[in-house]
Amino acid sequence: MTITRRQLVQAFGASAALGALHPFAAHAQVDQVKVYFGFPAGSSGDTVARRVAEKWGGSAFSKNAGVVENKPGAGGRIALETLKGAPADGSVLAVAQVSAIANYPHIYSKMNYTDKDFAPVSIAAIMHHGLAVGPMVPASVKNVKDFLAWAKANPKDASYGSPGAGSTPHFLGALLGINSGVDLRHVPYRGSIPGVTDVVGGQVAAMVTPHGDFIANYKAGKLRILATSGPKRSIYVPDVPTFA
Amino acid sequence: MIAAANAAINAALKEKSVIDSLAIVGLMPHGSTPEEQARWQKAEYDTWGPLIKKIGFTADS
Repeated sequence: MTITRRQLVQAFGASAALGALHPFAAHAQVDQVKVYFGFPAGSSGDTVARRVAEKWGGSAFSKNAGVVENKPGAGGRIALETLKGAPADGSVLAVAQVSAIANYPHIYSKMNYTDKDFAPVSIAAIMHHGLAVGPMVPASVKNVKDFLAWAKANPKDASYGSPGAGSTPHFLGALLGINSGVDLRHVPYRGSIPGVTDVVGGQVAAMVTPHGDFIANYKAGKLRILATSGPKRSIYVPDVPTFA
Repeated sequence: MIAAANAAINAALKEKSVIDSLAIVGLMPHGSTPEEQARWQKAEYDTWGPLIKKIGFTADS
């Protein structure tokens, strides 16, 4: 199976987005809005949900600040399944990665929701994915090419974590492996943070996930970000090259 | 209601404290209209479907 260079660059060049979704319309200002988020607390996506929701108090939307409820599992699908069953009175919405609406129908044979179950509200943020390695990978590995060569020579250790089976980072890792002909074993985690912890702890070699989830450990020198997605370098880690 | 929710989200994304918090976790604030989000979702759906099928990617890949 071959994929073209253009397709690979396009894949890594894509900016994922986090958007808010809502069950269909409703009434007047609500008392307090509940926001479902499909991964554990502490990730970058969780941060945008919380920082935005806490600003809603006293708006035409809500009397009080919104509260985030984490509903981790199934790559974010549990949160959206819960949203589907929630009252359509404006009191509940979800912050989710756009891929949970746009890509998952191509990936999972059985889906318990479709885009028709929700109304888009607003894009909230753009995220770039990153590939990072920890202490399992020798310091001589400085870039993606080095990593793939190391992975080829060390097939037993050549694994990468992602925030969930079927997630966009999982897909990007699979593309990287297929395109380079290197067998990269996927390790699904329940969200970014447990995977990053294992990379830092030396239990798994690498991780593909929104690069913001690497930044604290990257700045502390506990992991190395080898590349980030997107057409340009991340303004948050400008010394890291892109995949292209 | 969607308009009020959209306005509340977009107003929050313009606040410095929110922008600063997102910078720490590497996220670029990016508001939109609901229609822009719908177009984005459609564009992603159309872009990735063929490639996902071509490599036979599944959650078990």
